[in-house]
Amino acid sequence: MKWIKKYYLIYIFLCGTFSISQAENNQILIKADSLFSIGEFQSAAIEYERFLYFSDTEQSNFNCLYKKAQCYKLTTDFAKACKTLERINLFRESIDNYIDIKRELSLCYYLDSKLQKALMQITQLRHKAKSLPKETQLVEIFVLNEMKKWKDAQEKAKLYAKQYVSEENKKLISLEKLDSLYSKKNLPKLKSIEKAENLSRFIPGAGQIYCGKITEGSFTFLFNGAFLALGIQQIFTKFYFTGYTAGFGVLHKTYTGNMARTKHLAKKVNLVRHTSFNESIIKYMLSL
Amino acid sequence: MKKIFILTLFCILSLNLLAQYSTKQRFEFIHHLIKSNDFKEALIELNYLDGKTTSDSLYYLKGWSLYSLKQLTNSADNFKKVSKLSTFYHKSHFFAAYNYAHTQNYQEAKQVLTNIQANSNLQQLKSFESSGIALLERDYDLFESTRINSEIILPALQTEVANLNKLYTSLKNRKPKKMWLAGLMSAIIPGSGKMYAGKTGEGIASLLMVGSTGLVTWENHRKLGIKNFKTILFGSIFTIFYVGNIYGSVFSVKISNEEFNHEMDQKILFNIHIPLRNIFN
Repeated sequence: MKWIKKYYLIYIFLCGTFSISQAENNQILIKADSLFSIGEFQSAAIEYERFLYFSDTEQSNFNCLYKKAQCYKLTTDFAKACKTLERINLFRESIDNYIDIKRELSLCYYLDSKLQKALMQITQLRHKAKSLPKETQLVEIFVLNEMKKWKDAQEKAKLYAKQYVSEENKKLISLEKLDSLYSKKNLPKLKSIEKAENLSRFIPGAGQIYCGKITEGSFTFLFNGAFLALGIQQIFTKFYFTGYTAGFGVLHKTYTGNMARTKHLAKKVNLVRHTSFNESIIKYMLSL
Repeated sequence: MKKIFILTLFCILSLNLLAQYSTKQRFEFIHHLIKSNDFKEALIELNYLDGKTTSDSLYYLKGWSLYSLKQLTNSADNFKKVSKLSTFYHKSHFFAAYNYAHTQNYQEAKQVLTNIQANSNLQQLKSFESSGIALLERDYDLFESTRINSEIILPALQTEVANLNKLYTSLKNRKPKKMWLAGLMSAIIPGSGKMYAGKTGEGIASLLMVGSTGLVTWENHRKLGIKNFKTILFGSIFTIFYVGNIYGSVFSVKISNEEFNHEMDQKILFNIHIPLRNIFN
């Protein structure tokens, strides 16, 4: 009888310790959630990781990893957010969880400028789910815009408007607006870098004018022309060294420098126009 | 009475367990964070433990996290605190010495290396690291006295010992270029000072530039006379280019010497770092 009592006590003690350890781990989860709610995202991410490390079951893994990824997303560490979301075992998760993970992954990859990866997540989600969540549809439009696939982006944007704008009147207005936004007139007129360079090769300054910098282009033309004229004039007056060095020598430097400048300018103009167009689309789509 | 005692004990233990994770568990978790390359998070955890424990693991893990985040001085300061009783003692102190060497604190690096109590195998590593630091300081006598001369060299050190010896030969055989000589050479033949400094392309470009402005000045002087505006203009340009080229040549020697020394330092640091990673990881 004495021995039985002893065994009972040991059993109770071990059970108690085990249950306390579980309770202790749950305390960590509560702490992590509290830290998250007060905006202490880095500390919250550590606490979620601690919970995952000490947790015996994989039941809460999805929630923890998902919230940890949110912490990184909110601290704009998108690469870490993606890494955390990739840790979730998708085969074990329900379709709802699968959709949530893919939605977040596509958004984080887009924000991390990994466009191909973002698009891949959306494609995978489309295969599994019947329809894409609202946010993912937006991400897909933005990704396609970034990739300069205007036609596909326009199609998706119109589908989005049809699906989410309830009033018929507003729907028609938004479809018209989208048509005008994606119209040939409004699409960013991207400059061909090769064409800009070639223009400057034959007529110095023409590349700058092609990129929209008329004043700069005119000055470049006059500057190069002046040195060419100086070179010719000096040679005609039998100042051969002066003509060659002060005229053609300097012209060679300004000519090659101008070519490099044109290339840089074309790239800059393209970036500004592309960004401005994308921003206008983002602004409009988010207002719908 | 017994039952009450056991129940009280059980309650105390429960409350204690409920309070927080033990230090051991925290260290396990920090190990996990470091393995996952989450060094910033590991440091936050380690800072929490700072003052609560003086364990060697705290200093070692802090040193390692800071080393991984390339904060080498702080890393070395933490590594140095690891006591002889720790299993990480040798690793920590060798890495502390390397970190100090990398931050050009050679005195501290040598001090740390001297204080390491090493066995026969690590004695060879200690000599190797010391010779590397001597080479970084360009102390060739010290390098000669500390370098490994034995025929039996640890496999993890063989390649690096040979590399360090090669670096020593190239450092010793290189005659530092003289700034005044480069200036003089450029004064006689424009651009030759830069060629002497090892910048042949820049030297040819300078020669062409100064030579052509010189020719233009000469042409205008011959045809228009010395008082003509064009002669004065091109003469001034030539003078600026000529003097600028001499000045540039003097500095290109200085830059060339600095570049050579920097390249050598990087190679030495690389060679003294590799065996540490191979032996201790």
